[in-house]
Amino acid sequence: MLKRLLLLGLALFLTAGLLTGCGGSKPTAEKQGEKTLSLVLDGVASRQHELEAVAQYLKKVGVDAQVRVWEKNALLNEIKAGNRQAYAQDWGSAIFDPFDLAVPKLKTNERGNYSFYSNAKFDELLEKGAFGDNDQEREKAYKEAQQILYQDAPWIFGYYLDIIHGVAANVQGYKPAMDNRINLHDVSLSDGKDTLAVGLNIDRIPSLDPANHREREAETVIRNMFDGLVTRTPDGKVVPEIAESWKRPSPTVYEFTIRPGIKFHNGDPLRIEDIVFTFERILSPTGINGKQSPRVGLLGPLKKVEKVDNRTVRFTLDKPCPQFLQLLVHTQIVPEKYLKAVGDQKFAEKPVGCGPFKLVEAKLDSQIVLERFDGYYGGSPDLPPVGPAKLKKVVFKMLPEPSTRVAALKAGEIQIAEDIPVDVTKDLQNDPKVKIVTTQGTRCYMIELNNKKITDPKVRQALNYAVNWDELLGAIYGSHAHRLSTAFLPSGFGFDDSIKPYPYNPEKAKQLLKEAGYKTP
Amino acid sequence: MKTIKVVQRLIESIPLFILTIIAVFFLVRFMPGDPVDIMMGSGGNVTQEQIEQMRSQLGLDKPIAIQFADFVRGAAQGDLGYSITQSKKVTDLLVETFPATIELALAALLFALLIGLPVGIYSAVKQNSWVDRLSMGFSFLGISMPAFWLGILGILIFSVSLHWLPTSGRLDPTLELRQITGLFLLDSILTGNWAALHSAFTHLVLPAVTLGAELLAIVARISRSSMVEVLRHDYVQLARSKGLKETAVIFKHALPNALIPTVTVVGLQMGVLLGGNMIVETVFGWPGLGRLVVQSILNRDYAVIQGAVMLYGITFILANLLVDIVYTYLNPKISL
Amino acid sequence: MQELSTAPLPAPPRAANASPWKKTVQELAAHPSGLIGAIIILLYLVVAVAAPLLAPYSPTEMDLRARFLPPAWAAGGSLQHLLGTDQLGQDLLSRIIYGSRVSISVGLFSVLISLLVGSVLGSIAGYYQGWFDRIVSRVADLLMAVPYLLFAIFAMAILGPGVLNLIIALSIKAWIEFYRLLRGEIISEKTKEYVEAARMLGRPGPVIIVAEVLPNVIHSLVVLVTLRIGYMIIMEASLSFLGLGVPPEVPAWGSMIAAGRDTLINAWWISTLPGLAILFLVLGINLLGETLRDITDPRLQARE
Repeated sequence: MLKRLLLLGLALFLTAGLLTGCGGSKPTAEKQGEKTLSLVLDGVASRQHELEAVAQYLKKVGVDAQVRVWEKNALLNEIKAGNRQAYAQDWGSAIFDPFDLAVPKLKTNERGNYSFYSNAKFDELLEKGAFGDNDQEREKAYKEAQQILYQDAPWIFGYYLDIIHGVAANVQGYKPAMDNRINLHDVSLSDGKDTLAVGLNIDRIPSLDPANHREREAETVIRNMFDGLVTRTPDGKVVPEIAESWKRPSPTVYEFTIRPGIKFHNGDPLRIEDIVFTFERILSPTGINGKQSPRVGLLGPLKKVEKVDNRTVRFTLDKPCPQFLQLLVHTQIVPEKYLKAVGDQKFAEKPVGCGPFKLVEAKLDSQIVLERFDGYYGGSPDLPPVGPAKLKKVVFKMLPEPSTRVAALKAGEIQIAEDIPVDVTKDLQNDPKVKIVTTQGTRCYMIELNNKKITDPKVRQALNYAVNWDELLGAIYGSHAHRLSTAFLPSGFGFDDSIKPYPYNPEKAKQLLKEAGYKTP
Repeated sequence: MKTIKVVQRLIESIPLFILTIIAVFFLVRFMPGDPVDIMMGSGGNVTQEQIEQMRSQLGLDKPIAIQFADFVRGAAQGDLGYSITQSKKVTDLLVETFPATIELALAALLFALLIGLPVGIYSAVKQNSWVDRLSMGFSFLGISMPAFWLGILGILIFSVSLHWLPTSGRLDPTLELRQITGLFLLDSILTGNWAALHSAFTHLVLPAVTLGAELLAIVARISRSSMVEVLRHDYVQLARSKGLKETAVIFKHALPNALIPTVTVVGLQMGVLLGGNMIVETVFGWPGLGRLVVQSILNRDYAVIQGAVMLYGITFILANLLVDIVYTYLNPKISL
Repeated sequence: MQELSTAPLPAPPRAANASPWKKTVQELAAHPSGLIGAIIILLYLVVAVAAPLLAPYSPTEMDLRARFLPPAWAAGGSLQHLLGTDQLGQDLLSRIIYGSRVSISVGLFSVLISLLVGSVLGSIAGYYQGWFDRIVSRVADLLMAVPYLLFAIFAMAILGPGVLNLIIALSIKAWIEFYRLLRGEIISEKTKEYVEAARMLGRPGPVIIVAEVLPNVIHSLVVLVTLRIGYMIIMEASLSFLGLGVPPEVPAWGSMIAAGRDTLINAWWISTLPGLAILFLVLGINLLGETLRDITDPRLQARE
């Protein structure tokens, strides 16, 4: 009898499981005469909410929209194989020029062109905009390209987000930078303390060798130990740093004159040879540990670096590159003698730069401790104050969990917290010990469409009209998300602010879908 | 004799170990996604040529059989390859992260045994008392809870609301600690650094409790039930009738026998303890092997995944061996 | 475990027992914890099956003006959303109710697949032994040496998202226990006289296995199945938590917990409540499983 009970129980479980299992599947859309547009919106878990909301809007205009969540790289693989229809993606731009956003994302056959968009006229305009040597003409080309893009609507155009940092109330002189850097040289604490900790949104820093990583957060830390020829203001303008001034004798030649009296942390003076070495190390196919630096892409068409005299260095490019100065910000100068003496491996463990702080202790997976370098030359005069750093000791902590970062900030364990989730900003604003600081981000978020599958521009336009982005973004990100009219950022060169983002117009969307032969309610 | 048996067992596990490595080598390459493309991230302007160049430098454009031969050749010389996301030798990465994982796993194990055993034994001795009922009730909760949820609750209560314990990491950043073993508790005792000891301990409490909760529940249940059974046995009754003190009966006669099933189960759970680290380390930002592995899988950092699985395999084999040795020690009748 | 098989259950005198139901109810009543477990499971099953009737809202219906509403009993909560709302103003109660479907069906099916694969392989390996046994046992050992979660993550990364893939990923390692149980039972049973006798009589091997051995292990299997379902539900939640679980048309408890993690400080309920739902379901399953074990074999209970 017991046996029977057990078997019965099993059977009950089975049927219940079957019932619920089947209950999960959706009825397929009925087909009568006209076809219904079915769309699966793919994305990673962090975009899930947004995609669910988008799907709701699309359903209102008769699109049978479903959401599917993926592991990032598995999805990317499917996208590149052309198997998906619509996918939430994002692309970061570092140098305030469509050169590293619109070009890789939308030019035919470029690395990031997941939407398979291809328009010869558009490609030509991008080429002109990215590589022309007259800024006025470049701007014109870029603007014209935006017009084409707006009409073609290869994506459901998206938005960019604010960079939101949480800062303890006693922190002075800190400005979040659009390029996401955390420049601690100018920061001080109002209550006389001289130790500051930063919570970074990363698991571990890959390397402290400025030429051996591709990670924004690594550069954040490295930039406080190393200086470059040029640097950037928080709002993205290139200003001199190690270089005092520069000339551009021809479109493919740059000459930099460096400041005198700059010292590395180990006391060695900075020489032109160090600059030449820094760049040759990245250009060489066997530059670091017998391998090529992963940062070679950040040198653009650089061909040759050479010493002119003891204070001048000359860069020769393969072809004109209007973004070259912006790119140079991302290369930091290393000491040739020290590096050659200790080798690449040891250098990454005990890096020596000429920046405002020097390394005390590095545990790449938990914290990096720096202290003030008293022999600092002062830094860029365009980023006052000039002189040694005000803080004596700074600590970068790896805190990848947003909630732990916020909790650490509230508990006073850290004074600057990167990437605060929008949803907790309101809460932090009520905390007198914490303030929220923001600036524009440079990462573009969108829903890319597979232009090989969704070939009718009317459909793509309809999808753009159908989503009430203002309502959606307001709900999810408050005032911290900003819509984009196309794939160009307002902070980038050549942005056309006369183009307004697609308005929410479900009627227009339905009409366009109907014209394309799809069923609408 | 026994050392020979131990060596024999070690040798027996070698084919299994090699098989695991081969399986993982090919499995990681089945995962969709291109490591070099992933390393370049979604941003910037890197040309296809540069990607190809990097791929060939990393040897990822070679046929898979050649890659495997390279890997075997390297591994034979103790070189597990190069992490493409961390720009570092895999062996260095493992050496960096493994102590943290071991410290956490040991702390969780200790927590489970130190509380689980006494509670289980006391419950068995005082069967059906309120202590027994309460502890068994709690142990039921312990095996019914997802560890990560318990961790989140812990952060919510003890860190966010009460501010008693830190939210993540292993040590207060203002403190410095000279590392000898990589186990922070041990290192701070060895160097007499009491401030670091306190800090390391408070950082360890929540993750260890989270990771050890399930094991604690299991240990308490097993030790209780095996104790109950042993106490029923004749020799225990005999010892009692001889007029031995009850504590002597329990600790001298009953306990060693009751421990055997507990040791078996703890041994089986070692794998769970190490594997469970992945989620607990993610929740608490604990810089250990588990978190590194999750990140490496997401980034398709083949060499790191291979190296980590090798390390997991070795630890698993050694842990099982240790359990066997403890087992024979507890019960001399069993030979290895 | 080994001892269990050596004593075949006495065949119950079926006709003599007029009311088997009465007896089982009595037995269950004698083990109130099992009864409680059964009631909890039954409640969850009812909720899962009748989710559309019980849920006050659609689980994916958003109300962007009602985001982050706390549960009704907390300050600022309202009776319209008993358990509050999440980041998108979706009703948490409705999502938890629908989430039971994912958990139950994933837990159940992954265990059933494991049971099927494990017992078939285990029976063959146990009966014929030889090379088949050696290979499968080696594979099982191999799988044991790699942490479970690592395997599940691998599998989900390779297979891609989806409920079915999730079930497969979870089953990849879970079959081993069933395999080992059956293999052991059959090896020890095979040499018994009655099996030999049956073979002499010309009954084919598989028939002997099914007819003679399976009835003896069915209890252990049922207990194992029950307890494993609980474990699988936790594993499903863990995978969803890491973002490798099921797609969101099906709200899953694990991904709900993960989604609330960023806002733990200002909206504790989003993470906490789905966790409670898991806790109670698995608790019920474990209570029933343990009680079944006690009822079916008292000696097993003594040894745990």
